[in-house]
Amino acid sequence: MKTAVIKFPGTTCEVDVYKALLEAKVDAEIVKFKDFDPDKYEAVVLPGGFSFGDYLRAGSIAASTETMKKVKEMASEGKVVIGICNGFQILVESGLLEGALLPNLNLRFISKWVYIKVVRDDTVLTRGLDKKILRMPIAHAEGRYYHEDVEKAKSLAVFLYSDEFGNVSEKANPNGSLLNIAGIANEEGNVVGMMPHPERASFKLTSPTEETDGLLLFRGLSK
Amino acid sequence: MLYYVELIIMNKDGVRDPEGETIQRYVVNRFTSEILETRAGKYLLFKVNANNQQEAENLVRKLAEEMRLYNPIVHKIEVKVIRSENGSN
Amino acid sequence: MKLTLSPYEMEIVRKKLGREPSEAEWLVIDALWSEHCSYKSSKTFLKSFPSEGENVVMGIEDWQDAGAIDVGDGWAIVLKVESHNHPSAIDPFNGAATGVGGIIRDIISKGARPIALLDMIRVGNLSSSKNRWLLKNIIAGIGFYGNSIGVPVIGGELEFDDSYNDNPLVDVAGVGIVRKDKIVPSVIKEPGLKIVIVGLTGLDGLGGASFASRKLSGEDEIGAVQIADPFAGKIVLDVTLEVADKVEAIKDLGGGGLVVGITEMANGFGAIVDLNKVPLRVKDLSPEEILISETQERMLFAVKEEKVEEVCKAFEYYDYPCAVIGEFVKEPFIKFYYNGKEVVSLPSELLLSPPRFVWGVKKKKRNTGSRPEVGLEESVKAIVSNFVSKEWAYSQFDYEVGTSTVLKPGEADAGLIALPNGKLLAIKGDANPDLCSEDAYECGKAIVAEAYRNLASVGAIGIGLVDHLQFGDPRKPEVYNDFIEAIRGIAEAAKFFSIPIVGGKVSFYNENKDGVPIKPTPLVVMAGLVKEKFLRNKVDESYIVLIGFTRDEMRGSLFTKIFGNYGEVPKTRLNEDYLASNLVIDSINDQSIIFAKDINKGGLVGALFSILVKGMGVEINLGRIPSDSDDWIPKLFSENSGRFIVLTNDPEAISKKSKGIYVSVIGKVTRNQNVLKIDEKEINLEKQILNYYNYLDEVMS
Repeated sequence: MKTAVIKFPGTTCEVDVYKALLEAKVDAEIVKFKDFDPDKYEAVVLPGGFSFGDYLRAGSIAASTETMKKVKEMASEGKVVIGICNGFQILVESGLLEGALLPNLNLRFISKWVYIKVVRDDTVLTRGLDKKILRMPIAHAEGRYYHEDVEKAKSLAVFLYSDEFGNVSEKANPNGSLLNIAGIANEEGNVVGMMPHPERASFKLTSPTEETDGLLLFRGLSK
Repeated sequence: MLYYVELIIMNKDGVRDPEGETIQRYVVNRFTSEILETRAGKYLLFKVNANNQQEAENLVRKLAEEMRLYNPIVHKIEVKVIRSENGSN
Repeated sequence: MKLTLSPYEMEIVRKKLGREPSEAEWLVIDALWSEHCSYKSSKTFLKSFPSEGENVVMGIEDWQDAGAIDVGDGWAIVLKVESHNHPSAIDPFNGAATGVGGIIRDIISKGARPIALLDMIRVGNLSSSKNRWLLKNIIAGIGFYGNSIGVPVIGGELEFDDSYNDNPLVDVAGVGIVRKDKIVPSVIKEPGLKIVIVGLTGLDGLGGASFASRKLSGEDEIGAVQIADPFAGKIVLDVTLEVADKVEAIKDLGGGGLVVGITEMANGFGAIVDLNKVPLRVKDLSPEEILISETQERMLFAVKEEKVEEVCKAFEYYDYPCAVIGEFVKEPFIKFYYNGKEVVSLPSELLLSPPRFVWGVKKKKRNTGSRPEVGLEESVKAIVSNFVSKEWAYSQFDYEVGTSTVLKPGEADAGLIALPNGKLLAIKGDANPDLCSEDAYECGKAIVAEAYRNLASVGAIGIGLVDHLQFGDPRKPEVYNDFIEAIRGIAEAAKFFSIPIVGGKVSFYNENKDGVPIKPTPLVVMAGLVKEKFLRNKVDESYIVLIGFTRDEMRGSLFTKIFGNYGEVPKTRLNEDYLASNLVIDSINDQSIIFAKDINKGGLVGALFSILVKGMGVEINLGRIPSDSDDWIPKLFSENSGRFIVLTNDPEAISKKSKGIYVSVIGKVTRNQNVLKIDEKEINLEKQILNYYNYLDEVMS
């Protein structure tokens, strides 16, 4: 799928995502937010960073841009929309995904490598995935997922923070997210948001255990 | 008597407020030209046990100063009692 | 109007100018002649640094903002260090954040992309709530800025000492990468170029450069506070790199603001500037305020007339203000106009040549003591209690952005990142104020040697370094003596290792309200390349091999800090550091070791502690430690240089490769968790190891 990687002012991870997509053999290019033409692409990725400085609430200012109107169109056409970290925050603020992402429980930025358990296989990233426990890093201050309807949240969840054996425990929850949710998708599965950074788990040299689980997720875009 | 006391912490006038500026430039200006300036700050609401309104206000002010709720070099504060319980306002 | 110029300097100005400068002109001269901008008390001696080498692309001669080093395949790295000590004492959050911002802008002024940051922080004892407040906000400020602009903080130092009570030292180092043939200068080579400014100017940091050159007086220092806006910083970063090949020179506006930026960029040529054209955030700024405001996130470009539109268009895409405010001219006068009137007209030469000062020196009197009576177990426990995990701090930094961080913070004694040409760059900052208080000369050599060893422990050889010289009031003879001695030591070591010093900074007047200077804290940041393999440390059952020779030189060590000063100052025998380090690198390359740690703070015991915290036990034999003394105190706690401990299953292989440096099997790693066994004595360090992991989390919560 021809994939656009959008850069808002303040986005920091667009080059990392682009490099990882290339590594996963995805046809991708970086597009500046004002220059985005949704008709040219079948998929769009909103990378991590601090769009508009994360001022007001992370992702809130980006959510009201013209660019996001176009992304919404893509989503309603069934095209693929992926949001990573700040991208997830933007998707939630713009209403493309349900719920909210609140400040971490300990009110601090957290940078660490975690394990996530895959609990839905009907999304574009997780379809046909054999490995169910993935290792990748998080780096965020506003990653605590919240939804008023716990049952709904459960049905939408795609990734849950767990330990290396897949136990979804409180100890494995880095930020107080409801049900340990690290990522969700819409009901159709074409819009996916996740706080962990798969692009940072796509290269052996910089993975602490040389695993490249991020590539497993991005391969979903190479078809 | 219980008093509800607001503490608003903002940057002093003349001290930059990037958050307010960014909201003004990228959100407010796209919505209307009638709003001229935006300043951002922090809002805290305290429920205070005190004998009178002045006492409640003084207590919150003292808290803010001694416990460094704000940095007097860059911030200014507004302390306001907004209502009380178990008695008249 | 408060000036920092002395009456002597003011007389020189009047004489050279032939008239009395206007108030605005005094402010201009005050900024340019401030210690912070002019290096007037230090330049004489800084010229003694070896700054040349075949790999140096730009050195101190260019006297520009950052030196560059060739890393092969047409790429070069730019290395930079800076501090924001004074602002961080007043507003630690913004002080530290703007420190990061300043480094980033210095790197991008060379057209280089910032790829890594190091933070080196020194605060007072955390039992004081003020120091906890300072540390909390310093770390938050660095994270706030570094994370927002997407540059990973890959390592650093965090140290505690009473001499930094109320005077935190916040040093930030940065590395940038650039194509060798695309490095952009910060000075112009010919007149006729337009002066373009980006960003809005406000009231921030008025008199900041002079503020840094004054001691903390405790008054309301609000004018000196600069507010950080990392979002603006990110826009400036992205677009400056976009337009780098369309401009002739780039300078970031830092200390001293617009007037310093323009005068330095003119480099002897002249400039004519219309202050009315400067985009303002605040209405009704006086011309003086516009001249020396230190509002952050502003850059200056020297642009050919035909390129101006293209440059400004790139900034306006993000709604970032961009304006032409004047041009560089041949006539060597710096002129500023406001409302059609000339407010400043000063010769460039006058502004760029403040008198140099060489202050008097005096050697400090050292107190002597005698060897303390202390028990083995008691001293081991006291020493290791000083080591704490820095995870509380570095987990607040995004160290993975850029997907180039090979060794994570806390993993080794140096940071390691991947460069675009596939090479691996190691980087480490080192200082040793306790030793520098004793003997600044030996200390100068010692910190360079330590950085050299730190790089070797991951498999890298140093290729360049920058220094940051932080002292008290240079007019005090003992302070100035330490300053010169430190320079001598650093220069000697750099020359010995053939590592050019490509840039640096000086920060004087670090003293508190009572006039007590900080401990002399020169700091070096060294970058190096991995030639073959890098080492990712692993701890497992194996032999513990000590490389190097231990000497009874206890002054300035952690041991004597705790138990009482005595003995001699460790002399840095540079050849031993050289031989030991290269032996370690050779052993990494032929994979005969699984772990390497150089010996510094806390001596041998300090180094062994890093094995114990990984869940293993250690057993050593005092008799197997080669030393010039039979005393167990130096054997365990001496911090003399030139030594490593390595873990290996084949000690023979290492001995064979040694070129005349001691290689001794002193013990082994055991499965006896938490236990350090020295000869027959077993010491259980479970409590200290828990403290290592929990201290900062508990104290700072």
